[in-house]
Amino acid sequence: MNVRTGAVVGGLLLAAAIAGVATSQQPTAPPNAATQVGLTPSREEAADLARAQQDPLTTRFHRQLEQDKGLAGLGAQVAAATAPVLGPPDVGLLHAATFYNGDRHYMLVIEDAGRVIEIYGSAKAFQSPVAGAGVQAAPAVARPAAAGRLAAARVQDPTDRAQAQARARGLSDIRPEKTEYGVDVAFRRFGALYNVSFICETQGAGCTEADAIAFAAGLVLLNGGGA
Amino acid sequence: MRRLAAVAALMSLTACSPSGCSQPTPEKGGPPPANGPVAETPLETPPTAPTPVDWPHEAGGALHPGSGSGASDPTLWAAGMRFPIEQAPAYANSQVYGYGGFAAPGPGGQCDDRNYSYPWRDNFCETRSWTNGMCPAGKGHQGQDIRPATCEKKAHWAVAAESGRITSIGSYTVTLLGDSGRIYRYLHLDMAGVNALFPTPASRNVERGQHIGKVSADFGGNATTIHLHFEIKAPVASGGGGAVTFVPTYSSLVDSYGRLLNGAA
Repeated sequence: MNVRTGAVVGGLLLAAAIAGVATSQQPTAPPNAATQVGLTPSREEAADLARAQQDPLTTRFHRQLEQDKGLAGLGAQVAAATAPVLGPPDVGLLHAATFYNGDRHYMLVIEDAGRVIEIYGSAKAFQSPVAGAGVQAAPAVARPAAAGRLAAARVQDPTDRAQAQARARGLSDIRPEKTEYGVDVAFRRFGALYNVSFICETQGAGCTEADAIAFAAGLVLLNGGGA
Repeated sequence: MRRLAAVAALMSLTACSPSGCSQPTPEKGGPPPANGPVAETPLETPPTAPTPVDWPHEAGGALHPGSGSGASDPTLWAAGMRFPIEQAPAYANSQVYGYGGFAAPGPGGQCDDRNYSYPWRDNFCETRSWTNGMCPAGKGHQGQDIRPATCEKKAHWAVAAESGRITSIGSYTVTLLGDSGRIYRYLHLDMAGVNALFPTPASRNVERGQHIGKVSADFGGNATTIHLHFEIKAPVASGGGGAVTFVPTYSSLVDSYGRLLNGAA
């Protein structure tokens, strides 16, 4: 066997060995592992997103962000996000914010008045292969008409009132949760899933479910929707 | 041509799995196999795979008796995650219903040997006033409490469950946003040590398995036992809807601990 033939044979043997090993050692995902799925906005959610993109107040806020040199870095990160980014319409808070961009998800973190506020949004979700597993649907509540905002203001309980006002602003599936460290509120908007966490030094004023829901309801779209 | 035929024969042998090729071995004294005579050199017996190490652990959802109704969902919500304490052994059991806890079964402190022993028990959904949509009662413990190997503060490392960023450090909370989009929270670590590890924003990118702090009992000035409270929050799609919610951690912890015990953390 000459050198060239030997080299060919050696290469073929190596390739065959690798193929054999690779075939026998391919890891398989456990059968009950959750998988990721993209979230698709409903027609109503897509229409809400289009309205939000054209909202004059939002447009004016975007212009303010563009003109603020201190927010140029944040602006570029938000523009690159692949999920609709919601953030507070408060330039002061945004100056103190840190933005984390991920695959179809993001987190905006703000430290404010003894609280850490985490605003998380995702255009994808985990789905269980197990029948019946997963989160229970929040009770369905009809979105009130424009006059419903006035009705919402008349609700006495602060948490219920905040929920009614949030629904009037377009949030759905609103789920407030007291936590070991503060309060969370999860909701759906523009076809994406969101969670706002208030991590508080102390429970009480500024760290109630009503506070978190009101904060979530006041968030505005900071990017074009992340499509 | 004879050389090429020999090469082809060698290739067919290497493409077989390590457990051997599916060629019949003739019984002693029997006829040779149809595809040729058996090689004279005795085949090596492949080493048997080591028996996987297991440890006593109750099923998911089987909470300490009298401590509430657990979530029996067997879904692996964080498949492939790293067990969040660096080294075994570790003991997943109740802080409240264990010895030294508020609802302890009898006399004994938190360092009682019975707390530092198997079996594991799930405590996600254990009775609490906090909302938890994954629990049968609609409320309950939002994570899993885990004791480290010994009853000592600041002696055992907690590690990143997956690669990502430490997005916030509170007075007793550390939030890790995983690259997958899962949110992991670690409570009661030694927070001075955590802040020393991550002094700047640039330092907060972490790799799976990286140290993030030592298990302790920090609770913003309140008293608690030495343990890691570990929780996972994730966007979950369900029946056309969905929510970002606390997910049952026990199955993922069992899966990851088993890999840790078997050297495949």
